[in-house]
Amino acid sequence: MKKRIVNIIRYFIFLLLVSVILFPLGFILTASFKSNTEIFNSPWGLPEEISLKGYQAIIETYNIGRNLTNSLLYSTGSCIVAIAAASMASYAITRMRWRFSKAALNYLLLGIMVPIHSLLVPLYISVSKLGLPSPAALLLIYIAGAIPTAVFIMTGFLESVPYELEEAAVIDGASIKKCFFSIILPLLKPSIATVGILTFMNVWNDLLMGLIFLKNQSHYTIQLFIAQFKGSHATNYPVLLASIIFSAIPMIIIYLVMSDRLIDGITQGAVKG
Amino acid sequence: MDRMLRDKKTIILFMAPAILIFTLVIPVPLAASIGLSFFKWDLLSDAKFVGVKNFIRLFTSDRVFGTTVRNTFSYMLLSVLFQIPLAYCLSIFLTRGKRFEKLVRNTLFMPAVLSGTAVSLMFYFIYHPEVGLVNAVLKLMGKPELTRFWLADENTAMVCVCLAVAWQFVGYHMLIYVTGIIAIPLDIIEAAKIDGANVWQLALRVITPNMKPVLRVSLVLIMTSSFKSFDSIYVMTGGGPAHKTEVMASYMYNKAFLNLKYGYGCAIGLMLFAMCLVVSLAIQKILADR
Amino acid sequence: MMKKKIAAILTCAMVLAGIAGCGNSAGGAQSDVPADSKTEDEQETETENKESADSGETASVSEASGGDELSGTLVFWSGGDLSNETDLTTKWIKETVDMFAEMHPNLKVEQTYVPGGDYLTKITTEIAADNAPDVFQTWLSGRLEPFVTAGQVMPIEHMLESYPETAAIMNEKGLNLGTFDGKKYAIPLVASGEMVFYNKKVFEENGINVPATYDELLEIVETLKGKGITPCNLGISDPWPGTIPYMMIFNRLNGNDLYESVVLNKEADFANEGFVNAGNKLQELVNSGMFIETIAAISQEEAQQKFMAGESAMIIDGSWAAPNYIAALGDDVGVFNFPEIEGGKGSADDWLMNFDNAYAISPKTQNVEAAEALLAFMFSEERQAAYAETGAIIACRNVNYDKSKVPALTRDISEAFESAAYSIIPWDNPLGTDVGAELNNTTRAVITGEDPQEAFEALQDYALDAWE
Repeated sequence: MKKRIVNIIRYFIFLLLVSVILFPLGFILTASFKSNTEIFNSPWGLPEEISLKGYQAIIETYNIGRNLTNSLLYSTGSCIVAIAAASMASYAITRMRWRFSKAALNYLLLGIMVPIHSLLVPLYISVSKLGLPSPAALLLIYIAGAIPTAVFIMTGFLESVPYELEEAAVIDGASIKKCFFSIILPLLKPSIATVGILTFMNVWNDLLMGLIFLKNQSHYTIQLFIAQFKGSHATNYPVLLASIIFSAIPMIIIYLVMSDRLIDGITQGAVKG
Repeated sequence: MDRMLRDKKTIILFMAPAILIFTLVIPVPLAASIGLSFFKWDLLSDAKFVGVKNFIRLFTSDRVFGTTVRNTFSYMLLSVLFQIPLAYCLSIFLTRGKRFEKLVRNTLFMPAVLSGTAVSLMFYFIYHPEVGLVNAVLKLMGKPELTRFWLADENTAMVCVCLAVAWQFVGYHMLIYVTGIIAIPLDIIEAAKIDGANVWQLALRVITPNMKPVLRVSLVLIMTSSFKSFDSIYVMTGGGPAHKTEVMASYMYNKAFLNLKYGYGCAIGLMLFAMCLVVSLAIQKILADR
Repeated sequence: MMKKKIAAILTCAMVLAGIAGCGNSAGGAQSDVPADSKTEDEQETETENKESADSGETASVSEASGGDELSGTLVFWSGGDLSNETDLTTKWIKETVDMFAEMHPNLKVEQTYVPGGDYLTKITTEIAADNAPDVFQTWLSGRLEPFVTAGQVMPIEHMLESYPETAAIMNEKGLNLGTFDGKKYAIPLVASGEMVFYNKKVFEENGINVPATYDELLEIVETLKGKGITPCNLGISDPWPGTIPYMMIFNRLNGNDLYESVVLNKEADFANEGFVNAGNKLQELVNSGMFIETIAAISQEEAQQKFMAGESAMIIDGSWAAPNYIAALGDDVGVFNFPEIEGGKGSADDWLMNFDNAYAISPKTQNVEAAEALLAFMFSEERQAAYAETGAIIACRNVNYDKSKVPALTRDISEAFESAAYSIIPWDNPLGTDVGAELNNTTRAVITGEDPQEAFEALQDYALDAWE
């Protein structure tokens, strides 16, 4: 009997916890289908009549597709380059024999201690003085921001992997490059997934860098796109709400499809980084 | 093999991309930042050398900077208070091996994958005085006298921002603790149970000591992210009312990019960096494994 | 914040005919805009030119630009949001530049529009990086000066000489704000002002008239409150709109001397009792129940929505919002200036007025001819008439356009501007972004109940620090 009560309380709390998370999301979702007047008059409950005006405006007038594509390009682009650069460096640091390998590792790890936010002003000045095209500059900054953590995770992983496989391969006549591509990279897969997830998420969710470096509206990321709705369009609630839903959906889908992988990656990244 | 592994060309080839990109984007601007912080510069006219004046100003005549430092620390404190104890209890509550536990954990974690911008906009709407959820709930409960302009009220703005941030990240910190709990060898827990320890004793005597590393991680994470807090402030309050939610990052942004005081912005950025470094080193030191 | 305001100007269409525009305001306007002395002579020449300019306008523009074919590339930058359908100004600019590009098929015109408040930052760094666009939007007076000092703006005298029909519609008062060391650098596109809009129907229904004195305003507030109607809307979650009633009250109490010395000449003296008294008066007005209860929490955009929905009798706003009000309320919307305060030194004939959205040419341009041609085309009578017909208040004068397309309120506002005894530039403009923004924070604090004495002492400290 006592156990049953405990269980009922337990599941009640479960329900409570889940609804604390889902209720605000649901509130935004249902409100996004209401008209502006209905949002004002009855913020509660389901929409009387489903209005897709907000969504229509977001897609047709505001062309949100372009911003989603931009964000996708920045995110995947920085993922690929950061993974390539970090895995090569991690290999050279853990496997190859040279005097400054330890020093190089520490140098790169210093980056974990430096919040890139604090360097925005000089970065901005050098980007503008060098006349770099802003999307390229932004990509470079995203990549550099991802490298230290990536190197940390990858070197940590490689140190725990025995040398035997590579030795055997070398005896069979493999070159360093071959070793790297056919042995190390496949071995690194879990680390690559972690780094990839972390980088993708950080870049996808970034607001500040984009705000500072991107000039042209056609280069805007999704976060910049939705941030503009708190200003001059603040009174068009359906559009504001639809833009929130739109920006959240890709991450929620990714989350639902690969939640375990994602959780693993993010918590690992946190614990190690 | 040894010769191959000592091949300088390969080493350079492998190290070059990471080192180059990293150096260009972090150490070089860091050095530049130190240099620039001694100048007054709007980028248009020539930079004017002003020595340490920017720093003197930060600590003497610029009252707002002091406010932003205090705000940054209260953001940090509130985040720690709202997130760590709750996340900790949840992690213990949700590792009892019951049904649906994982589902609940995963749901709690989900907001962490959303962007700060989206979550902040969402809460901007939820706190809205007229169409928002909070005031609507209060009215429904028959307590209209409790309704407020949550984000425009000097007394509630910062707390509300931090609650929104906590909503987003409690699940994240809980999961970090969960990984810590799962890593505790089962026999230790079993032994304690056999000794007749109840849930609380178990939590206090067995789990907590073993969680020190993950607690430290999450503490450092919250503290360093407090120094970087920008999105939530920018979207929800814009630093207002009356600088009550202005934090160092948003102040740096305003000074440098809106008021075109780039040298001064650099000085603020350096302070941000220095404080972030000191605080995270201090935490590491205080909570170090002995 | 000024930048918000610029964004607001950009996002709203502008209804009214030019400030001191179309017809000559003759030498009558005694505006204290600096370096105004030339105005009268210039105006005479303009009048003489008028006839010929009117008839030959369109032809000569295309002649001048079509005769020797332009080629190469031309980069054009402006603030504005193309995805915002209510941003008629940006729409008009885009249309104009597109037309220009079509007229010159060998010329490649690249256009960039930066939305929201980011334009200042972006254009500054672009210029600092020596990437200055050939033709770009800029500011006037205090905000244009650093660009001019840094040698980043080309004088437009040559353009005005080459395109007399553009020179003929220039508004000297506007040009003066872009004149440094006797050289003209930028042409403002719009004229704007800040005032009280009121809902005639609500006034009528409650038997009230436009207040002639501050005490009458307080009576109106009482009457309206008694009937459960919000007297005046205003939203200061973004604090800049709160400064509008403050500046009005300040003028009615103190006249213009203190404004000139502190705001225009930047002699920091904000703790002066003139500033504090105006703060006290504003607080008194707030406490009388003049403003909507949620003033601190809502944005000006939300306040506008409420006024348009007929939920309040008045709103304090800029002329740039007039088209929206006309669209929503038709002939029911009217305007008046803040009433005089007994014993005060100011006057209800002193208006908050300004010119905005100026355009200039970069001296680094490789294509001077094309850049001048574009600027001249933007400020041709044909294009300015088209702009005025969108409902904008154009800065240019002597422009012939279909006035039947302009609503009655437009005429009221333009008449009000023409009859202005003195024009007060909205303070955050001459104060600059930094102190201007802090002034807005200060008026917000006063409105939400902080002691004005303390608030303005803090502003004084801030200004001393910033202007040091």
